[in-house]
Amino acid sequence: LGKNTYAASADRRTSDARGTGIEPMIYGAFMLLVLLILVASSREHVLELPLFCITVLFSLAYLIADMTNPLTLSF
Amino acid sequence: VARLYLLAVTLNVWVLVGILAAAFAVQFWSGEPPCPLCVTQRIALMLIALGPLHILLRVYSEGLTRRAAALGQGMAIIAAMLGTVAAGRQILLHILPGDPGFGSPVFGLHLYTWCFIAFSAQIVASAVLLITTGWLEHGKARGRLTMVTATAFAFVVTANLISVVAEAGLHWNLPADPSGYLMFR
Repeated sequence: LGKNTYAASADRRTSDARGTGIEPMIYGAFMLLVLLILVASSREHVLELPLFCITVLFSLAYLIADMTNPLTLSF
Repeated sequence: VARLYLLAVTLNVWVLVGILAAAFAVQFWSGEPPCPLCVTQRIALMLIALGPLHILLRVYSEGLTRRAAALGQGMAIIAAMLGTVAAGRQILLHILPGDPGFGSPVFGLHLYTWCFIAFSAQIVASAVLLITTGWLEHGKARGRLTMVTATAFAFVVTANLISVVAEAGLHWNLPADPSGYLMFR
């Protein structure tokens, strides 16, 4: 939650080494989705659960994509 | 049982809001902007809170139902599992001997380790609350702090959203080891 890094590899300290480097944009979108789910929940909207599932699945997919990055596996 | 259940669910949300607020405080107090993996864990915490909030919001409108309780706790467990994977991965990144870990330790443990403990505890807590669903009776209780709780949660999520955008500074790229807020450079 605080300052992290992918420490063991100096390569990973640059954004280029992590591929596209669009994580913040994506994570900002995830947080927007969280707010949308909250609004959907308060209005008992039918999209609440689908939005929740989409957010979880995309977050997991993104995490797995990061875990299987060759740079990660190399150290 | 229903009142106790609602108290537990409300406390659950406030604990999660507290963790998110504490992480936010550490971020500014120590001058340590969160990395992508840290943000993933925050998102998992937010997604967990949506479960109990689903229950509270349903109670607010139609009273306590087993369906809402089961659905909310299920959502919390799934999101907690996502968080466990993210926190576990971050722990494993720093598990080699000699690796000091990253960020400032809090009470001897790094924040991602605390997070792993919190996610594991959440799974157990949600499972226990899921078991108690069998004893719940419909419409016996009303949530009193629902709107305050939901507003506090929305405030914390919005603050994190602004923080992430400030960190990215409307750029596509962000270092894996961020040292500041690109928006203000």
